[in-house]
Amino acid sequence: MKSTATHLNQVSKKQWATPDCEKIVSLLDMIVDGEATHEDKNYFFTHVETCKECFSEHEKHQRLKEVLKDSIQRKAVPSRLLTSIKSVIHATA
Amino acid sequence: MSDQRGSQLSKEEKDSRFEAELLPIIDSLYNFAFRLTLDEDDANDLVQETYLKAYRFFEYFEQGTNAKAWLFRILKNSFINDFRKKSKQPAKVDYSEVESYYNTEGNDNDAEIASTSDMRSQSVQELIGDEVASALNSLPVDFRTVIILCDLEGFTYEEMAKILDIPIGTVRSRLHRARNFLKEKLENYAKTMGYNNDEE
Ligand SMILES: [Zn+2]
Repeated sequence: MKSTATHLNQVSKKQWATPDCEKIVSLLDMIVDGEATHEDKNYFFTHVETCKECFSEHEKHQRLKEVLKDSIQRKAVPSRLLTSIKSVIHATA
Repeated sequence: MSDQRGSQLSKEEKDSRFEAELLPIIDSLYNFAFRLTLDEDDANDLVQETYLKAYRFFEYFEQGTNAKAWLFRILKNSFINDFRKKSKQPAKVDYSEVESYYNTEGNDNDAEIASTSDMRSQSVQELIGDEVASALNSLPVDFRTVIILCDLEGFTYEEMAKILDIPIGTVRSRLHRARNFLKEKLENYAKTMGYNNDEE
């Protein structure tokens, strides 16, 4: 797991073309998660219209979020779990 | 909000309120537990323990507030206090297997990759799903957690900060780093498989 942790520190140090691009990259998560302010959104989408690199970075970020949601399989809750929780609770004073 | 405190309820009333408000969350809770422990039995125990704690402290839960976030917080704390110490991190993830898989990168020869053992029997969708799951599982647990909470369970940054007891800034930076890591991993995978995912 050590290599993953080291790697996590390295990937964020990627160099960007302009200070603007750097700011855009720092907004990526808030944009795809719907947490950005109105002002940030305007700034973001104006930049992305003219910057190919940031446009593609946004696409990738957005796609990753969708892929995670769509392809991680949900596990079914074992039915004995629900039964056992209920019975323990009913027996608790 | 009701002025009826949990402590004033009869046992019957308390039980039915508990079941109506908290048991419907069991599906999300179990999936969270499974993604943390990567083991069905551990997930089972963790969820059971979470509900027992929630029952014990039910009078402190304010009706109408975020029950899902409350339960997730209890589960996360139980995981840190009890489970993480017991099991030596995600030993169940065979990281080296994932790694060596990527080392086939040099061979972007389609024919060679297609002939690899059981690949043909699986559909592309399943393969991608498996790959996404192993990439997610290979993340250290703190990073995995923010992805699960945000992308799989749809919590807001503020809710995540409360569940995890960390500042929102830390939530954001963990998410960012986790996503960059996953993007890179899955991009490498896409290249290996010969997908051109820059095509819009
Ligand atoms: Zn840019």
